Amino acid sequence: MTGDRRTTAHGLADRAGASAEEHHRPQTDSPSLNAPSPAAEAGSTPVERPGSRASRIGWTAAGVVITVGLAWAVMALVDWVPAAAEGTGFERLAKSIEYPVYAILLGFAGNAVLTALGIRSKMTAAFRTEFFIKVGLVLLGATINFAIFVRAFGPAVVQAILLIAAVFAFTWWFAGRLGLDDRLRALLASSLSICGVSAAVAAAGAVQAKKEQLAFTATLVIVFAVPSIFLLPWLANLMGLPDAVTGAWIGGNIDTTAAVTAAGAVAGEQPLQIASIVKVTQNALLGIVAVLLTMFFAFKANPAAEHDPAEGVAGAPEKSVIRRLGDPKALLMVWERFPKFVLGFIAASIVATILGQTMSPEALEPKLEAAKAIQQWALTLAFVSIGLEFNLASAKDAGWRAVLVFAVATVVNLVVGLGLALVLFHSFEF
Amino acid sequence: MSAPERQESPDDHRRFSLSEDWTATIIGLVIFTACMVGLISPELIP
Repeated sequence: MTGDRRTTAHGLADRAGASAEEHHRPQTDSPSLNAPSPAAEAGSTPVERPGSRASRIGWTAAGVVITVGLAWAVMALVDWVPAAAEGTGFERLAKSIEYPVYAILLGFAGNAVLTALGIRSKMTAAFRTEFFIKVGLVLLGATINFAIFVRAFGPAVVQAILLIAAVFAFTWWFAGRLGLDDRLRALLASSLSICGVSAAVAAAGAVQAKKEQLAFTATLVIVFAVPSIFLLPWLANLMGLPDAVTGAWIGGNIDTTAAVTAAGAVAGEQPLQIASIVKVTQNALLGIVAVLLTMFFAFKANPAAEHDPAEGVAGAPEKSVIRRLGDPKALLMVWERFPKFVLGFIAASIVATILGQTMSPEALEPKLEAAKAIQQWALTLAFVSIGLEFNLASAKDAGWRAVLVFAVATVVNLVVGLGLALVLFHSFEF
Repeated sequence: MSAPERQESPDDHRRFSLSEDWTATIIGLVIFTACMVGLISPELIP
C-alpha cells in the first residue's frame, strides 16, 4: 500500500457491503449513520443526528478494544501453542506457525462473530490496517541495515519498473478484450501492477472513475491478497527459492502492502526485509503512474467529457488538465501520491545503521529489541485488522469479467514476477 | 421534498488519508526514537 488510501476504499467497499448486510434493519440502525464519515471529517457537509457522534465514538472504542484483545490473544497463542504441542505429533507444525497466521485467522473469526451479531459495520473505523502497517513498516526499517537497502534498491527498482509495465500492459489489454470500460481497466491495471487499493484510489482520481468501480476493485484486491499470504511462502518453500528471491517475489506480486508484510513474515525474517524493500519501491512509483494515467486520459479517453455527474466521480477535476510531465501540477501529484511512511522507513534504517557503527552491540541490542517488539505489535494489529475488515459482499457487484481479468492477470503477475525475482535477486547476499 | 443526497467521491477522503499517512510515519518515528534513547525498554512491552 501503501501512500495508501486503502482505508478510504475499504470504507467504500465496506459501506457497500454493510448496506447489503444490514438491509433489513430500521433506519436508525443504519451503518451510514453510525459509522464515521470521512467526508464529514474532511470538512464537507455532514448531516448528524443528535447523539450519533457519541454512538460512533462508543462503537469505535469497542472496535479498538476487540482489535487489541485479538492481538493480545495472538501473542498468547504464539507462546502457548508450541508449549502445549511439545512431545506430541504436532510439535513441528506448532513451532512453524508464525504470528501472522494466528492474527489473520483470529481476525476472520472476529469478523464472523461481529457480522453475525450485526455490529461489525459500526466498528470499521477501529480496523485501521493501513495505519498499523505503516507504523510497523517504519519500525521494520530499524531492523534493516541500510547497506542491504542500498544493495537491494537497484534490483528492486528494475523489478518494479518491468513488472509494473508488463502487468499493467497485460491487464489493460486483456480487460479491453473483454470489453470493460476504460476507467475500470485503469483501476484494475493499476491495482494489480502497483500496490493494490492505494493504486486503485490514485488511478480513480486520475481517470475520474465511478465510486462503485473503486469499491469493487478494492474488494477484489483483498479477496485475492488474503490467500496469497499463505500460498506464496508455501510455493517458495516448495520450489526451494533462496530467501532474497522469495522476498522479491512476494514483494513484487502481492498487491497490498499489509499482505506483503504478512506473507514476508510467514516466509521468514530475511524474505520479509527484501519483500518490504521491493514493496516500498513499488509504492514510491505510484505517483508517476498516476501522472501518466492522468495525461493519457486527458489526451485520449477524456472520460470527464462523457461522464454522467449523477454517477459519482472518483477524481479531482483539476488533475485532468495535466498535459506534460514538467507541469508543476504533475510534480505536485507525484508528491501527493508518494507514500510518506517510506521516508520514515528509510530514516529509521539510516539511523539504526549509524548507531550500529557507533554504539557497542551490548548497548544497542536492547534498544533494537524494544523497537522490534513494538513493530511486532503494530504488524499484529494490522494483520488482525485484515481479517476484521474483510467484506466479500461488494465483490458480487464486480461482475464475472472483472473477476476473470483479476484472476488471469494475477497468474501473469506471479509468473513474470518469479522470473524477474530469479534473474535480479538470485545472487543477492545478506 | 428531500434534497438529493450528495454523491461521495474517494477524493473527499484525501485530506484525511494523507493525514493518516503522515500520522503513522510520525508515530512510528517517535516510537523508534523513544526506543533508541532508552525511554522504552523491552521489559515494558508485553
